Amino acid sequence: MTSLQKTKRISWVSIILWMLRILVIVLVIWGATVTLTSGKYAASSWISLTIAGLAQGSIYALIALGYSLVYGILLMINFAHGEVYMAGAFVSYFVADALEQSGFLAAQPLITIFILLLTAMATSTVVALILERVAYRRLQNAPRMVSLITAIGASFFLQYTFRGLFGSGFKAYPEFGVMWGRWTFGSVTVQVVQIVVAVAALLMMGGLYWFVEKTKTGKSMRAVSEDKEIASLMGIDVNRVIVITFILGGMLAGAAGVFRGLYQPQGIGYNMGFLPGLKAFSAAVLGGIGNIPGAMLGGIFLGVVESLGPNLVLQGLGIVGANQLKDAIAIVMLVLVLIFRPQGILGEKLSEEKA
Amino acid sequence: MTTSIITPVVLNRKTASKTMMIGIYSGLVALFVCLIGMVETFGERDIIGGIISMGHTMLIIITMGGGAFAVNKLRENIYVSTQKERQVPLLAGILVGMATGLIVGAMLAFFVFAAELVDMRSVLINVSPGLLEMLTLQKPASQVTLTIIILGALLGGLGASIFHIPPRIRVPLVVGLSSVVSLGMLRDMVRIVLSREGWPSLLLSFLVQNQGLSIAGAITIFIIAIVLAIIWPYLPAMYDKAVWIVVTYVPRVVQLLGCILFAITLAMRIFWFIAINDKDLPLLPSCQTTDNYSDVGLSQCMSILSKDVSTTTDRLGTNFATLVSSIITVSEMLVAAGIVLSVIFVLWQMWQHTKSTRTNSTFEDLDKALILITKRKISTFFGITLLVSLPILLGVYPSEVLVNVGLYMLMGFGLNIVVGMAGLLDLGYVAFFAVGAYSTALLTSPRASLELGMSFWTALPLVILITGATGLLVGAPVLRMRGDYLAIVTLGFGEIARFVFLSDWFKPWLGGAQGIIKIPPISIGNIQFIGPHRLYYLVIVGCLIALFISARLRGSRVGRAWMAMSEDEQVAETMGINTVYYKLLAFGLGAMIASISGAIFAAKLGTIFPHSFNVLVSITALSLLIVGGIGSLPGIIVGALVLVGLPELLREFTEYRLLIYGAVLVFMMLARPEGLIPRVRRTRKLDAQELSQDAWLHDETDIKNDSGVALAS
Repeated sequence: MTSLQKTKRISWVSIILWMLRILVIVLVIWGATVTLTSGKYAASSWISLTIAGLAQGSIYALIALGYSLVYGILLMINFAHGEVYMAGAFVSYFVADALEQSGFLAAQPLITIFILLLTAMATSTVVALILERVAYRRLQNAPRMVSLITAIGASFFLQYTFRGLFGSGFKAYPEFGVMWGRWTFGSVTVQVVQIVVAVAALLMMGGLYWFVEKTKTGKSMRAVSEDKEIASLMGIDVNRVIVITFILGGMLAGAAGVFRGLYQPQGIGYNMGFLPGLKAFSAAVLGGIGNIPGAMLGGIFLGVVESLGPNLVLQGLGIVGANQLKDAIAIVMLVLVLIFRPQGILGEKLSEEKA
Repeated sequence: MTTSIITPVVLNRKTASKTMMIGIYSGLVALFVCLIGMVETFGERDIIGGIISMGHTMLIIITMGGGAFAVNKLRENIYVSTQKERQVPLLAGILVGMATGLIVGAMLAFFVFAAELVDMRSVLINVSPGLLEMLTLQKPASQVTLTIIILGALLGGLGASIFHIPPRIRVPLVVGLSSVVSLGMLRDMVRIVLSREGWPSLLLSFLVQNQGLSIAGAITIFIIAIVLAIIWPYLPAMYDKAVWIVVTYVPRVVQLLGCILFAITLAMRIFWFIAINDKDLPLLPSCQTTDNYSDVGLSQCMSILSKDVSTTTDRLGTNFATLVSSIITVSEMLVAAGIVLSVIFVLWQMWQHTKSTRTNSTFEDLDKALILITKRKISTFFGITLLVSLPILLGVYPSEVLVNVGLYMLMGFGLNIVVGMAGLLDLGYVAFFAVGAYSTALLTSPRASLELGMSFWTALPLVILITGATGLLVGAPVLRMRGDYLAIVTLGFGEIARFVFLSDWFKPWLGGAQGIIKIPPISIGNIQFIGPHRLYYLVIVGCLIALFISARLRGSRVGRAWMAMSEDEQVAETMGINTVYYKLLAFGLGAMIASISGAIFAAKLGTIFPHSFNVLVSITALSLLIVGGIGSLPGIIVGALVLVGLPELLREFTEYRLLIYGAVLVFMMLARPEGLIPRVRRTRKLDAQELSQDAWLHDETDIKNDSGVALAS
């Protein structure tokens, strides 16, 4: 009797899930067909949108890597990572502003960007390290809920610290003349900054991949993520590896902050990290959390979907003001991925302990 | 003798470096509160008028705390050989404290100096001339550098010496100082309450000056607090004695009659307060001046209730009228005394509660049991009195604060079902609050798209059902996820709800950014619940219902299933608990309670905007749950009072509310994950027989320790 009930219940759930799956696919296809057949946009504008999505997505990917790295090692969601990114963007804004006023920026834009990257990476790294030292180190063996709540608390503490220190107004990055040129290939026009951001981010991700796969420290990181205790028995200093992980995550987040400033100069403020943080987490889960290429892929995928989605699908479904719902796409995708493929696009099936 | 031996042990290189680190940390904290603008904002609020402000108090506390902390750390590190207690020698302790304070002072002095040389305002917006003036006490920086450093050292030393004062003196001193500080902080509140009718006006002018407390007032408060702190330990025994006297010598009939008289008078007063008067009631009755409007005693209420009182009294003669009026006066005085007593009593009970460790007392005789039962009755009696009479006591503005506290408390109870009982971390709880508010608005407002214009009470069941269904809808797809994923996804849902309410897509129905206006107030009969002193009673009723539901659920089959599920889901499932069902139940119930809060919120404001429903609401609800102790019902009440009530009373706090919440979350998780008032878990006591069966598992020593400590809990 009980087993019968059990099977019945499971079948109900799976029927609903299947219906949901079909509904999502039908909605997407329907919306896309309606938009495409209406011929509202030319092919070139789709390509422009895709490239814009790539640039935005590579910023997400850089942040997502921070989530993924920390998750891989500590099995915790570092919710405050969005604030690490915010810190980099915020502090580098002040440097950029000072450099602009001294005229250095106009004279040497590339060196300026380099300086900005260094400052932002340093700031973010420091913030990430403080987080690790003050909050997370003592919670390594705590229940997940405890460390998540700590991370949320730390996130709000950081946001409002920055608000208290630097004010609640939104700031704008100075204009980089070089970045705002346009390149035209045939009928497709792209902004220089999009290409620069995407390429630079890809280079950094490549660097990270090389670091994790080829160096000795990277090897110890992988070992710790496999099994902390065994790794420490093998003579690996686990705390050192964790610190390095936070440094790497912080550096990438800081760089993402500068890229965000270059790509979208407006809206540098104390709460700029919240939504990108949430989206980057979605991206990390999308690609398979704990998986480095997965986070990259997830980020870029999310960026492209976010850029194309409102115009392609939502408008086709007849939704007014589709671009307002842009921010909801990431979360909906997160929910869908967690329902249908919790291990993400690239993730392997993890054991209950890790998943 | 011991001093000379220990001093070199204490003051070595390790101590020096440790002291320095603590000094630097305290200095950083001091600088931090300066830089984020707390010191300056709080500087506008004087504790004692014209003498010391809250900002200064903050810096003083940080410096003294640094000194005390350094000594405390030192004490932990002392090698104990012969001493009974680890005690740092007085001189060494003060030296360490002074060094700590010196570093704090030096850092502040350096900061003042640097800020005077370089203009930092373009980056750090809070380094204003006002802040510098506060730090330098309106003198040029070069003159006061040394003063600041010396002051820091003195304060640090003072903080360090706290441990050397014997507890008998230390405790009253600390209590006295902190009550002066807290009353000074709450001077607005003190002023509002004391300036109401009924309090002698002299009291206000004596206690409160223009900016803060007056000097004489501060000294008086200090002395009263010290006296209270000294007699405090003797109070429980005195109380027991008093209860015993009442139980033994006052006949039951008199007790009962007194209670009934009290209850009737109070009920009439409250009814009058809600139904008829829009103005505040005076605290103390003034029955003698009947024609004055401000007289709001029972007699007026009586005459309104039964128009023919006067004719009756005419018929029965003046003697009876005098009798009635004297009874009324007596009962009014009784009510006033009861209210004042219950304030004191409930505060005392709360204090006792935080200290008490639940002992399984075995009654030696019947008297003790009788006293215990009577005490419980008295607690309930005074508790209800206080609860009911708070708006009368405090006035409109504090009632408004209480209403907000109550709304959050209601959400806390709902969230507690989801987080505390079922163990599902929901960070998007605001979504249900918002759905409740919006559906109320849609159903009741004649200006909303549906143009239904229902009454609140018709709409409420529908609202609860709608929100419960939303809870199920949101819960169904996400419940198979693991805990921390669930948290993030619900956070996302909370954000999605806001996007939806804000979007142009639903604008024809939900009003977009303009929200929904003209939501009618709640009314029962002719009484419209406008104004906090009336809404208060509604919110209280809501909270009591939620409290009752939560308390009953906890021990029930459902509650036990939730508890099992939150401990270990797989084991619970194996034991035959249908986890999907129970999770959905938790989500739905939690959503329903939030919707009540949202409905009252919508009716209270009359207009709702999507911006009221941001993630900060969820975080506030979560924080109050965690501060109080996850799963603990008294904890929710205390958490809501502290986290929602205090910031509203101290307007300067509102800017730093989220900063403090964040810090509190981190701190609680690191230092005290079970919360201020941890939930009491009922565990079965092992019988001696069972214990002996398990004896082979332990050593003898283990049993000795365990049976005393572990099992008694």
